[in-house]
Amino acid sequence: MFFGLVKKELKYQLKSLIPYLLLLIIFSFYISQYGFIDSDDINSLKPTTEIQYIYNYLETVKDTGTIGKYDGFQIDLTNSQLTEVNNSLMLLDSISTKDDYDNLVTDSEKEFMTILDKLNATLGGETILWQGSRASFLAQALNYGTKEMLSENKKMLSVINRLISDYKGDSIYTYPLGFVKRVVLNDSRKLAMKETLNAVINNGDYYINHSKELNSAKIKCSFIEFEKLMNNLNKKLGGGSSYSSTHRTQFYQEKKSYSEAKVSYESIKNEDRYSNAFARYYSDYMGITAALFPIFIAAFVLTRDKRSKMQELINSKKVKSFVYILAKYTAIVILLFIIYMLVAGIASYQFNKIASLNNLVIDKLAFFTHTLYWIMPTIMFVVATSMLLAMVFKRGVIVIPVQFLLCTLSLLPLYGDYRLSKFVIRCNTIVGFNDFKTYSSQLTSNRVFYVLLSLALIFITSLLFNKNRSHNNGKHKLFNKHNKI
Amino acid sequence: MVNTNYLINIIKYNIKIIFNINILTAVAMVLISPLLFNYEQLNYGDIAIIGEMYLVLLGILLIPHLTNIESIVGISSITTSKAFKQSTIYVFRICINIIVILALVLVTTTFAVVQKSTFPLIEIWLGISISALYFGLVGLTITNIFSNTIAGYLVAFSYYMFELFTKGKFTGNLYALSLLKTSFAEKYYLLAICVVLLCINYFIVKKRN
Repeated sequence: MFFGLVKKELKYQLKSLIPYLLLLIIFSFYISQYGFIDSDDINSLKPTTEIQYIYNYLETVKDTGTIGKYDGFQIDLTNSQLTEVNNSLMLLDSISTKDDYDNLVTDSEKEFMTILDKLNATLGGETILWQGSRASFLAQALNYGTKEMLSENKKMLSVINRLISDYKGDSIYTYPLGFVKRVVLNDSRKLAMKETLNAVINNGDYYINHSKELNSAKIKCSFIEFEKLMNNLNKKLGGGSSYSSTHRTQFYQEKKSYSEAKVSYESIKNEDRYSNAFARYYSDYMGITAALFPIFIAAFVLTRDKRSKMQELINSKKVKSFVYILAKYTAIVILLFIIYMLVAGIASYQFNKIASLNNLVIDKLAFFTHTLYWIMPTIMFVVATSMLLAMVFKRGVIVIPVQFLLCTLSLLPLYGDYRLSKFVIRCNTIVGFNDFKTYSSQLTSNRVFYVLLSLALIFITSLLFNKNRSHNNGKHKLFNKHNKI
Repeated sequence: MVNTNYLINIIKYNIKIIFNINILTAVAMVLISPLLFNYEQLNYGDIAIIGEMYLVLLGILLIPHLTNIESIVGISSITTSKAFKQSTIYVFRICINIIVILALVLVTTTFAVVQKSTFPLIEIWLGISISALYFGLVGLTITNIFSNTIAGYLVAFSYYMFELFTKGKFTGNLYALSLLKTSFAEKYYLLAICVVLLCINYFIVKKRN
């Protein structure tokens, strides 16, 4: 009976337009957010050094005959200027050696900067190599990623730095329910911020106007007390602020060094075999679609019986309510599983092509395993919740805004929060396994929780269905007590 | 000549069936918005976030189902056999729901102005309403082409999500959430498309009936 019902529901859905529309939409979402991954994205993961980056840039300048200006425009170079560029390249060669990543490294940082200053002066003094713009030019290219600070004092000072910056403004942005909420800093809120500042560091008032000297500030509380102070401040600001336990962890991050970036890259190359790192990034985007689009199948599957006036006939059958509901649920989950596996297949094929071009050894099943492990529990939960809400409200359309609101609660932060309150798994960055493994057990608990919760929700849905189902002319119906003929 | 009493009765009945769960959900969305957002002292960018990310969903809730109500309850063959044109009734329903959208967005934006927000009220009101109408009419067009309300909701909502995540990268001058970039120019194009979609939908339902 159960498998017969599953088969019937699958057959019905496959004859309908909606699954094909869903496949097209999910595929469009994949192409728009992830589909333009190419060899450059993989090659850019390999860390480079400042001197190597500048060297590569100057080689391009030599070939094109133009150099970038500090304001974004380009400057055409004369032959003599190009000769100077060539001379600078030879100088850079002379002060550096190649490391195991084939990147130029130098011990004489001062000499390196002097070469750039001299070259900038020769080329007019307004190039991108000018001291004032050099740092941001290099920062764009040399993003080694971040790591959590080890020092608790550094963490506290980082949050305090943000607190001082917010205090000077008129308002802050918070995310209490997923949506961005602007909170005006009235007198009471500013007082709370000032009190917190003074509770954490000595002479806090002084640093409001001297924030550059914050590194020399003396912390006067322990880290546990600091966390309590920040949680209290978050409450006074209405919740969801940068000082909440979820959001303040972003301030505990500092930039990695070149050697740390090399370790991360080795992890992506050897432990992840590239594809697992990209599969996590892929699952981030697909997880968002899994949290929203299945609603349009799941929310209307039970109300369809009423629309087609088959409700009374179905209610009179011997089939148990739990078997009936579980069969519908299983069919929808199988259908969505097929859709997401098809898209995972396309992603896998695309990545295989890139890997072949670059002679990379990859894990060919990465996209499939991540779809199964990361995305399927989200799908199971969303389908179960949609069916339950449709059963409660008797209307599929109400489920759409309710699920949308539920989803927004899970979308932030973009990485690193896999508590049980998050049914969407976010990993909006390409990280190596050595960075991600700290979250492995939390993620596993999360996924298992949502699978079990989904089954519990389906059980509750079947109980409600059973209550509504009547053998006595509507007497035992929980909702819709008045029979309409 | 149409009997006036007959016309009034049709209008009354259609108002009764339009004010259903969709409108109640839309009103509920507007009523709970002060819990989700703070309306105090908002500037252009802040109200644009509320309008373009949240209030535009009103269009998706209120418009795609309007021409399929008879199919849902299974009386479309009866209603299409009547002398009074169904297409006229659909136009009337769409007009009512456009007024509802305009009213709900106006209430929200006026509430923000009362809370000492500073932004051009008319520009924001019309901009958000046009976006909501645009998404709603996209959904309605799909509903009419495929005679499937769920498809209408799905395509409209997917389009909204697509615009939200791509930030106009693929739609350029037709970016439906352009107020997020403090630009109103795109709304003129959207309004023109809305008029075209209304005409297309009118001809589809006229031909179908």
